[in-house]
Amino acid sequence: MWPQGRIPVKMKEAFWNSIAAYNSATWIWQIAMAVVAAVLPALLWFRPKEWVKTVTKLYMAAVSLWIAFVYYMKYGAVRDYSNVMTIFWCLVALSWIYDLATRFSSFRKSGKYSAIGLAILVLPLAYPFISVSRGLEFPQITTPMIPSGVALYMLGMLMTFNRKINFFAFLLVMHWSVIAISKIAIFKIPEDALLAAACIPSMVIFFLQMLKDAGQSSFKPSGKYVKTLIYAVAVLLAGCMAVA
Amino acid sequence: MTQEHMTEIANFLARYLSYMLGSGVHTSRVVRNSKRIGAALGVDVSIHTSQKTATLTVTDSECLFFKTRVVDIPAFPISFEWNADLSALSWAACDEKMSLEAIERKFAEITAKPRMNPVFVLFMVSLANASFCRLFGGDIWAMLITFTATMIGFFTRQHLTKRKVNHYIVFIVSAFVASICASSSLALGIDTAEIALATSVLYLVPGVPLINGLIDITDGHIQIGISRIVNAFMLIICIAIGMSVTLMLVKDSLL
Amino acid sequence: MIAVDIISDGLFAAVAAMGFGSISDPPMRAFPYIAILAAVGHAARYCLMTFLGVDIVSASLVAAFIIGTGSVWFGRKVFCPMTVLYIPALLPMVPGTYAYKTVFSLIMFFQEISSPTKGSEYLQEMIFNGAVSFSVLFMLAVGATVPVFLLRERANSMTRGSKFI
Repeated sequence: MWPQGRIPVKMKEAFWNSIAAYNSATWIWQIAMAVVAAVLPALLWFRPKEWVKTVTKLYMAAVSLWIAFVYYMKYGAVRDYSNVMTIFWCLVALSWIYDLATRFSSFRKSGKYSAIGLAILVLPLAYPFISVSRGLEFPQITTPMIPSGVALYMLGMLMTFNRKINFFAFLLVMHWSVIAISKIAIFKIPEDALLAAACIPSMVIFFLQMLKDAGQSSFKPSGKYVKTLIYAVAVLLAGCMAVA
Repeated sequence: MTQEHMTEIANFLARYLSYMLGSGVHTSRVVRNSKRIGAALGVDVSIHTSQKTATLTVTDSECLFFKTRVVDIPAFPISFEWNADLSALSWAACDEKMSLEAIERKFAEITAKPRMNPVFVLFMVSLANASFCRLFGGDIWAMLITFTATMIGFFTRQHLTKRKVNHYIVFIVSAFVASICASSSLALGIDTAEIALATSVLYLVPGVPLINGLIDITDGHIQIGISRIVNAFMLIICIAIGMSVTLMLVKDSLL
Repeated sequence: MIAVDIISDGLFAAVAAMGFGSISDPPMRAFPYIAILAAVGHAARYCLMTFLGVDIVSASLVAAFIIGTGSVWFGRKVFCPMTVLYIPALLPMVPGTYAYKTVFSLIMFFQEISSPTKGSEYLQEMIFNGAVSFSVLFMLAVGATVPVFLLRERANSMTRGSKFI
């Protein structure tokens, strides 16, 4: 291992260089995928057919694999430990394929929280603007097609169509946002604060929903305590973010 | 004492002891409690136990009749609440001279008590593993990563258990998932990433069968004690297998 | 500063014990006592190891004995058998890092099996870590069980007269 203190600088440089290489080589693909990503929620909103659901799940798996192999394996290879991230995003893809195979999540609106979901869906588009406003220039900017942007998109989709959600994917996104919180502190990438900020309220919403689905009466301790615990954890996470 | 009454007693005791053994109570306590209830109802009880079945014989005080039953031990999730309250039931039966009907009613009440809320357990276990990470010297980032990694791992375990997957496979898969998620902390370049990786699987450690096995052996129930310990070691090996898969994948980053 | 270290050690051990305990569905009334036992036990082990330089195995034995004795005392209060209180309280003392290193060096031994020097180094490391983790686990169980034999009468009538059934 290197001596302390030098690591962040070195890693930070490698990080921005790899992003630049990735953007300048794949910007057409990125735009194409972003367009598909924009069409899917519109289709699901107005025409919730079975095939749209399948396509959405396939797209989710595909985009995770894209992040795993194109972003991390090809362009991120100069960064240390990018193979770990490849494996992690394969796991995300796996969670969507598992969901497709078991036909679990329904991608239906439940009538609640759709506004929050749509707001989160728009957030990935803010990435380039934040980068530009920080004084960075193309190709050294963050785009919606970086891991955190994709994670935000997934979170937005789960939140908008939250009748029955793919909980594995949600937990993995949550894990990713926790990594993002640490990244803010270690690499100084303020763009990731978006993901972290979106994740904590959705964590509360999804777990309260899960609590309701589990049924209150047949369990101990009473729902009141569990709710308090969920809020306490959310506050703790938010506290960690504030520290970062 | 009539034959029918003895059959009823034998049936109840069979159920009582299979519930206790199935929910993770050490053998000598089960034997002691069953004998106590038997004595309260005026019969003598002898029990032989093994990992999957138990045999009991109920004899009346004059040794005129006896009833023998072999019962399968159902695989309940471990429940300390049953342990505590079913033990208390045996004392109540003995001290208050309860009738068989009253005992059976109480038994049904106790076994119908609510269980832990899975969401609550999910959060508690994740918090527990995060603080465990702190005990081993992890910093705040390692704790956060351990927290969510455990959450994913434990959710996987709950999900697979609900779908009645073989429990060895459940252990392997959830150990793998938890450790692979924890290994993503390596990318942050923090010093304590390895601690996060090491802690993330510890929520699976089968503490109850391990300690029960040891208690059984020291109490002289050596056969069932050894079976419990072997069972626990099998689960530990499964955890090790799940973690080794992760280690194989990321080992170059760990050196 | 030392006091803060000890208290935070106990605090985190208490959270860990309650969390691991909740998997095994204990009665709600047992939680505070599980937390106290775990905090006291783990803090005791921490003090022994840091300030008196006791090795991890003996320190675990002493801490487990404290937890076991405490569970005889508390068990009577909440009408719980000793195991209900002491098994969760022991779990924060599981030697996790040693167990992890055992598995890790085993894997590395397989990788370096053809190189005699490196392979045997890893094998040595595996035996070292494995011995520590096994002994600590064993001592935890033994230490907590000894009070049962010393106080057999009290330990066996723990749930007598329970108000909770």
